[in-house]
Amino acid sequence: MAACHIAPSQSFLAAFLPVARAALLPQLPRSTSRSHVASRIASLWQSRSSLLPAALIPIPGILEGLWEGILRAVPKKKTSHMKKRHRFMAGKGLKDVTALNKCSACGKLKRAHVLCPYCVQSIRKWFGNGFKTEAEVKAQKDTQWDEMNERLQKAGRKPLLKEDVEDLAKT
Amino acid sequence: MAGGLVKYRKLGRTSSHRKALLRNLVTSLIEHESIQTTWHKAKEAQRMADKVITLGKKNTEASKRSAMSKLFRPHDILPRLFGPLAARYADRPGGYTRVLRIEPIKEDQAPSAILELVDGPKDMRFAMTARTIAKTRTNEQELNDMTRANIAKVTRYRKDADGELEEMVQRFERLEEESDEGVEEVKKKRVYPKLERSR
Repeated sequence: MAACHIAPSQSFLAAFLPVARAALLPQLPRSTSRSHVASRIASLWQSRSSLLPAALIPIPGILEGLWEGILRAVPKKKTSHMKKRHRFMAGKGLKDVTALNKCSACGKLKRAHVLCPYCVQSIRKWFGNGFKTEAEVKAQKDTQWDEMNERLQKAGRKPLLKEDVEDLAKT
Repeated sequence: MAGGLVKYRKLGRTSSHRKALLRNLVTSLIEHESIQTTWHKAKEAQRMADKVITLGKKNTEASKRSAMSKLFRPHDILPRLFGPLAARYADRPGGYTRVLRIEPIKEDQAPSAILELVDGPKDMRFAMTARTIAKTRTNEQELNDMTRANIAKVTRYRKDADGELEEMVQRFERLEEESDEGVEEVKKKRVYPKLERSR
């Protein structure tokens, strides 16, 4: 697209582009009493009867420094795919865990210098129930249920069924 | 000071909170013989636990008062500290607790550890060594250098060490015979709320 090199009007420059204005019209004296932004805001405020919508005219005195910051800090171009990928792939990815070895007690893979989680959980369980096998634990629970139901029947009440209580426990 | 080491961990808490945390950890350790917590908390609690057990070994009026100030529920805990624990560690010069790294217990993946009283009934290293011996026996293999070192460690100051180790090895052999593998799945404890998904 051919750029048309017509310099923008003085009023436009005065309103929006103080840097461009200074570059294009260097001989203009700068106002030492007020800053660029302050004088610009004042001129905008005066020219609010013109085409500018009210939302674009900042209220003078509140946003001076902030306006300068907002105007300056802006990305010049969309970051290219290459730069974006360089930023993501700069050694920031997840690293593989290679410090692995075999558990001496159960033979499963485990992290080095860390106890095997299966062994730890099993041993803690067996510490708790006195090294009973699962079959023994189940048998013990069944006898407990039977004893409780016997007691209930002797007291003349309905026996509890394991299935009913298990359903309640799940919900 | 730039680049200097800290004398103790702050654990992200104020002084009073930290004091209460460590007291709670040490009280629980003396009560349960083995606790699971984060690795950093375990390392800090280890220091305090060893010092408290030293007070138990001293067994003077001053040490009793000092231990009472450093623990919660003193009426339950002090008899254990000045009785069985002092007797258990009478010959051991320091190092009454052990920190063993474990996989994270919660789903926030915080580095976790077991803090345990050495030579106790819940000694994890003792149990793991016994289970290793049982496995090598069933496979008819030779004991490793590392296993031999571990056996030396766990039997050094334990009373009737060889007898207890053999007993535990036989327990594991019996469990192996019944083909009881223990747990099949290791679940981590929930931390974050379970949110409904729209899809």
